[in-house]
Amino acid sequence: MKNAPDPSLPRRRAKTWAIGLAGTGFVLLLLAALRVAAGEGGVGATRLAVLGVGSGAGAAVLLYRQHMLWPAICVSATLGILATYLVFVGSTAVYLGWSDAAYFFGQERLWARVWLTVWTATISTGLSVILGIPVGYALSRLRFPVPRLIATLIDLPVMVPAAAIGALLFGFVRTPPVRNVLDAMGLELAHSATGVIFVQFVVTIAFAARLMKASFDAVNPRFEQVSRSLGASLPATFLHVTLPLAKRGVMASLIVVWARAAAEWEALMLFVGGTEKQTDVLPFAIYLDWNGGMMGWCVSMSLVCVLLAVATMGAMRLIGGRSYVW
Amino acid sequence: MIRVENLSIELGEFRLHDITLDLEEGEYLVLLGPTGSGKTVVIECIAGIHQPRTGRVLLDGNDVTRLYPEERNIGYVPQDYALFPNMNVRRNMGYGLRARKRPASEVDARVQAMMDMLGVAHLAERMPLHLSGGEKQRVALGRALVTKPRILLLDEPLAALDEDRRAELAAELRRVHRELHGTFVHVCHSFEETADVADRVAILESGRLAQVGTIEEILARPASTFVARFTRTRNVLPATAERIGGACRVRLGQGPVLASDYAALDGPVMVGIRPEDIRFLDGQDEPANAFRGTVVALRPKPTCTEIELDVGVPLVAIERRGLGAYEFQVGQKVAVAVEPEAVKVFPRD
Amino acid sequence: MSGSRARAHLFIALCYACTLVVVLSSCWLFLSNVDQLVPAETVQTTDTESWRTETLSRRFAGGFWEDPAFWRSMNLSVFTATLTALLAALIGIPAAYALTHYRIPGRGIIDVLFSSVIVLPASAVGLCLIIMFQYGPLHGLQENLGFQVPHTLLPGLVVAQLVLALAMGLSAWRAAFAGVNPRFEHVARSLGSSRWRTFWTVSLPSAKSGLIAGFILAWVRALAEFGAVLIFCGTFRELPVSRFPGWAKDLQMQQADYLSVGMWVEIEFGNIEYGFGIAFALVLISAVSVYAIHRIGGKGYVW
Repeated sequence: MKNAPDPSLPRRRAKTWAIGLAGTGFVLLLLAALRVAAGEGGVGATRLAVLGVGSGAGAAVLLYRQHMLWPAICVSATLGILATYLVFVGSTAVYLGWSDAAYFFGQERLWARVWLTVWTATISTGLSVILGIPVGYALSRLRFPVPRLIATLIDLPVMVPAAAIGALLFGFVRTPPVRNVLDAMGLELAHSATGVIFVQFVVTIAFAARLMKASFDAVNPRFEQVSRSLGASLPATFLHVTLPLAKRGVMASLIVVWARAAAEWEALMLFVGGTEKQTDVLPFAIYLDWNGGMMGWCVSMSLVCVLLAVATMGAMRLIGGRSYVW
Repeated sequence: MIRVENLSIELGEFRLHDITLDLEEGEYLVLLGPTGSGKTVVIECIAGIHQPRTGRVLLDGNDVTRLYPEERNIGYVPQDYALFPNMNVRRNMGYGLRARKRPASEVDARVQAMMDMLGVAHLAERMPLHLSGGEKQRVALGRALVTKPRILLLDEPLAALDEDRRAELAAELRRVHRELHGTFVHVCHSFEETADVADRVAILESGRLAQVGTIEEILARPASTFVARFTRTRNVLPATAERIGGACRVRLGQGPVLASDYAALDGPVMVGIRPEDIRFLDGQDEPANAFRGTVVALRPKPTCTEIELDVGVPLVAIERRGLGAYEFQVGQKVAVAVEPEAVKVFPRD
Repeated sequence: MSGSRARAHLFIALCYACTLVVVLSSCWLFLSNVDQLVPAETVQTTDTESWRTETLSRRFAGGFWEDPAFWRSMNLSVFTATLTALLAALIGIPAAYALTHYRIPGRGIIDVLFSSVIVLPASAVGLCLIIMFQYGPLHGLQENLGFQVPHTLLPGLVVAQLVLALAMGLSAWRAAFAGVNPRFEHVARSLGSSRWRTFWTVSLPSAKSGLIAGFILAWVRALAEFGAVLIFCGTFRELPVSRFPGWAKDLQMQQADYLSVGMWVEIEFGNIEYGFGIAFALVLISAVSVYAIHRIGGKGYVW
């Protein structure tokens, strides 16, 4: 009994074999695809592909017999998405190449656009968070009639095609209450950075409110009850208990809202229109330069966008944000 | 029949150290310990939910450590019962048999028999959401037992129940255990609940096995102050020990106390005395290990009165409630005595 | 005491007021544009429309519901969005299950990369897709195998929508699986159920509402896609009928644009009422879907 063989040995062996077979199959299929892509298809490539599919099937049979097929499918789905994403970003990076990248990343024009994106997104994020915190608190703690209808109305600007929002904004700023406010403040929206901020604000406010609600939902209301039982008023409780407890969530939401604001384009295209050095935030600039056929510019800016997205989400993960949006 | 060998595991902050346990066929073992002592992790390792870092789990002499839960034939009833919310009682109970691809007629018959045995046949078509705590417990028990598992793991099966239902369901557990001749491992945190069901008890203290034995053994010989305290030894007091022949004399409060059979200890120790071992002296006799003191407080309990004494050191004694028992008053002078066998001496922690 | 009471009321009133402003603005955003649907009297038909195959009279909302091209667009959009959501579910649900249940090395990095797609600008997505399929080995592969991805109804439109729909769906499905009590699965497996069976009989039914909400989310997101579709596929409306494959004609999807792209084209070319008609149709579809998501009670992580 002491020296009984480890019964898990065949399973571990099968796992190793399956990973090996699946890996080989993947490489063979890749080779076949590359041969076809290079125009050297024919029997050789077909043979490689058949071999690849065969070894993949072998791996599947092995895993199935060891009751490991389902986890393997799930994990391969994840790895498949990951690989596709890497190809998606990688092909763009390879297309640009080192020397071109060095050239475009050294250009004043690119960095001016990055800077424009950063500061407009920062201002609009600030605005939507100022409004989003009370709205999020209200959604989280206060009661509403027809709550689902209200939630739907708040979410709608996020889920409607952004281009439609851009079109709808025309009417929005043209009609009395909003127009009067804009006139009084002397804001010129068309072809100006103000317009960019306005559009970013409109499309992120719903997002900000949602995320703030999620952050406040994560705070146990008992803390607030205790604080109020100790004699602190509601605003004081909010300031000294709720907000500090929700700090991480709020910070994380801030980052997501910023990233979302920096990614806004479609509504800008219709509502604000493209003006060099005024409204050409990165996402918009990509479209403008693509229309202008300046591939180098738009590819390098796309890469900046990807880096920004990854960096913001990485920062959010570091802060430990794990907010539900819906 | 089942053997857990040198089991160690780390789960986040939590660790299990070198747990070794042996279970006989047909035994009812209770894993006892305070919250966070790792008792749930032990049975989850047996069930195959966690993979131990080192150590083995042997079932009938076969190493099952690396087997999947579905390959072990072990019954598992988690704390919240985890009745599948999308199936009614009958389907819940038939789940294991259907997973084993048994013919429908056999599934029906065995589920029906199990429902009859547990007295839940009238609930067959109900959804778990509409069951009471006791009903849920029976259904979860039946779901695990219907597949005739080699061993049944129960995680705090009585914790979610009301006080008055608990004794009834504990009796039910014993009955099922007796009728099926099953091997049960039951996790719980209450010593009283343990005493209701257990053949043998294993006490866990922060990831380590503190003591294994029958209830009598543990009450007679707690292995540590932790076990002593956990098994309701109310008086655990610091003292000094010195060896005299086969016995051990402990200096506690007013004077020396004799303790038998703890010969190996010397110097600063801890002494444990169960309240029920403290005898009140009414006459003039002056046996060994006698103390004089005053009553500090009285706490009436359902079956007894707890009497807090000051005999130089604080001491808790109990007086059985009954007709004609004489009443104590706070401030009253009393004399008490303890048999040398009832004084347990432990090394200082 | 009364001061604190007043302050509390003021605070609550402020929160309600802010919410009211947001909700009313959202309503107003849609309502203030109703008059765009009614054509102004003076509008003349311009030459920019000469590429159109049908001529439409200037009337309420351009009479879009009588335009067969609009219904072809609707066919196309709903068909491809559904296909996208199904495809996303097929890949995304197992992936979400793996990310919540199995220990995958480098999961933190995978998390960051997947969630970064949610905040990727649509133009960058479209451009990266173009580069991915038009330049490099994938282009050669398409040429030599005789199919094309960009600028096609299938798989082009689906690929363009899939990127963001999958990212959104994945976050919702992960939340759905993370919300299931793991003990259900532990018990199911201890009862002798294989992982495959456990998934179908326990995990999937337990996470059902969240998974459905995630599916709707992916579908809405696919339907709301604009930038990536515009860059990756462009418009189809002006292409000759002969350029469309047989199945597209059978399904009445030839010479039709993706709804959001179609809306943009109409507005850019001065057919304002018609464009806003489509915009309102899109708003209506989104509103119903979002309401459904809230009704079902789905959640979605952001990360």
